[in-house]
Amino acid sequence: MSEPIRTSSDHLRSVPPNAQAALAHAAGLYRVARRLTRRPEEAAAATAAAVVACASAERAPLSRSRAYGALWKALEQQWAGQPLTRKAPRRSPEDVLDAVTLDEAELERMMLSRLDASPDVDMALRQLPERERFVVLLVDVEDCSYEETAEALGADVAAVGPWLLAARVRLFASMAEFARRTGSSPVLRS
Amino acid sequence: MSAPHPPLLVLQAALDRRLSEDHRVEVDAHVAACGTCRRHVHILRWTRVRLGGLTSAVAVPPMLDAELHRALAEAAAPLAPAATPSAAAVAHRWWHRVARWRGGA
Repeated sequence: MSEPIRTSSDHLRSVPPNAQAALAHAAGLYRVARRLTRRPEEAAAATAAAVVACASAERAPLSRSRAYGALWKALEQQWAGQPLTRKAPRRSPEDVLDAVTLDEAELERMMLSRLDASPDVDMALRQLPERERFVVLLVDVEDCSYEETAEALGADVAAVGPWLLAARVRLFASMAEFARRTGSSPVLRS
Repeated sequence: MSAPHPPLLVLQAALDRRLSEDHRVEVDAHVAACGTCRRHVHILRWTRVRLGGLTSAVAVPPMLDAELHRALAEAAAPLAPAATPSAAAVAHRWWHRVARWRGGA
């Protein structure tokens, strides 16, 4: 028996049900993935896995939280067998803030610095445990709600606040430490 | 005696508008009168705003869209459903293609 011939209509029929919806989330997925991976290829691979998984899902419509959830699963698969780069901090957020050594004048100078993206934010993000990084990226960068973030992680919404607080406080402490070491805001130096 | 400081989690909830109106008014009143809590709120707000500035800071590779379409087409495999690769397998192959592309660039 001869091989069936693929036609353009076969190709059209093969498009997964949620393909367009999944593709609409691709840029956001890549942005988040890039800050959770070491190399662009890893971010692209996780994005592709998430898009393919979302596109093939029967359930419609595809929500943003489900798309981010697929990305988180893809990243976890990528990390399988590898130790995560950071362990969750043992210190409470209160203790982390208390340990910030900036005096009031340094703190004020830091806070008056420009607010655009800069290397110190990326550096601080890279020091966070992956799950806290994912949470703070979804809420503060991608503007997701606590509920969407919880759904993406398959977690209870009550868990989001503590993760988010730990992430924000540690980010601030890292940026403050950077500012203290350099004697000025890293943003102002650029 | 002054009122005890609200936990940071509560200050954050007020900042993110996750408190009931009554609770938020109570927390706001404390923050207005307490330098320590005001400093904490400023820190949380400033960090949140700094992160908000990152939205467009990651450049999406120009070929991402085309490659995602290719990965979707591979995953669909309409004429050989038994051989349909998993999302992870498609992504794995695609990853290596991107790596070769980057290597050749």
